[in-house]
Amino acid sequence: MKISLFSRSKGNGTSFEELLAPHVEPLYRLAFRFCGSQHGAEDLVQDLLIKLYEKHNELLKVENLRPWLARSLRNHFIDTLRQQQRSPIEYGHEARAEESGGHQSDYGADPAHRLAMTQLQESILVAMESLNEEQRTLVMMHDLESYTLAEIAEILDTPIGTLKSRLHRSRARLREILEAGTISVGSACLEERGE
Amino acid sequence: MGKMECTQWQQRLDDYVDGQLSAVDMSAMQQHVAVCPDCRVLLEQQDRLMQSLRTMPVPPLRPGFTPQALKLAVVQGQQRRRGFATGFSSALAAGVALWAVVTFMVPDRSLQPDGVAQVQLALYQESTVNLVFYSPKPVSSATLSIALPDNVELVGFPGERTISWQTALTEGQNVLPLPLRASGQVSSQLLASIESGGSKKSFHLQIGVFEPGSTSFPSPLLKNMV
Ligand SMILES: [Zn+2]
Repeated sequence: MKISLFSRSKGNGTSFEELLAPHVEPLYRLAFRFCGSQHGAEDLVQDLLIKLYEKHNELLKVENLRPWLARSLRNHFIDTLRQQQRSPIEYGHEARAEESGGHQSDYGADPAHRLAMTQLQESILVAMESLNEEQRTLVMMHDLESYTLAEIAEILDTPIGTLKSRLHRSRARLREILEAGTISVGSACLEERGE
Repeated sequence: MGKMECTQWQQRLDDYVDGQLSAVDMSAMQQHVAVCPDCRVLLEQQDRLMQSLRTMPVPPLRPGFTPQALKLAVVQGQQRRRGFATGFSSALAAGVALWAVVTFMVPDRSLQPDGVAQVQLALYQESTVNLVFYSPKPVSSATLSIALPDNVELVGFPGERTISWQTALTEGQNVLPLPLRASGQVSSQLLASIESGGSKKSFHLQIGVFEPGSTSFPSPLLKNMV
């Protein structure tokens, strides 16, 4: 049998590249929220795509790729962070990451990016460091990257009700810090631990 | 202002900024903040916060990152799979025993199954390479994929680097003719794979490029001819 080159169905978008191309930029944005540097975000996304290639068939069956991919990215980020923390060379990062509840941010490392921010936005980024990891992740996903609560419930395996009250406390905390004009990292985390 | 009422509205600040209030609640809240300075201040703070959060900048994604990153993932994935397939060929054989050979337009250049196949393309000229897929039984749906190196184009698919087809296979020999054209005189590899019913076979085709004739051709003219 001779297979015709032009018989392929373009409509079902089954190639790996066709399937993932629309998701690369949203993943990069989310990765940037997680790690705070452009370079780090690109690396995270590239590594994730390489891992995902092995799961091409599984990806084709996923009904809603957006939360599924965000969840993969987050898991990959956490794995990467753990690996870095195990490495003795990265001791400086480890100390820092523990201080801020497992979050490692390079915000401000990129001066061009910093320029585009308002003063309030800079203050907010600093204030976000005093949220705990769960709160910060939620604010990043919901308020910065516009994932819906339903999507985040899937990404974080957390009931929507819990997310709603967590979001309420996180925003209230940010408002308080910003209005007070001073930031005290230590007490903020302790107070907000209870769900 | 009643403290209870304030608490009630302050609890709903999130619903307000997230657009979750009904029209009735929305106007009731607006009426309340119009007369309650405490709640008004909170609402303004919440609005400012949300505005800043929602417009928090991200450095733009480097142009070209998306296709490059996807291609790298495909190429690395295929290389890994190839390594896997050679190590576990018996496991693969348990599935549908798909395999492939490459024949060139010149009959005596037909190639051995498996291993590295090799073809020579004349620079800027269209040459047809036949990929021959063997299937021991009819297959209703198989996916054929071709990943092209940078210097080779599939005629009729300008600019596409990875091309996939869904096709049925008959028992025995299935020929996929690929009209290829090389635009750069480097040696490179084309990756081809066939996948069906959980069984996947990948192989690579080494592509050499020669300049036709002994003198150099005015390449722009040749480019326009094909
Ligand atoms: Zn009030």
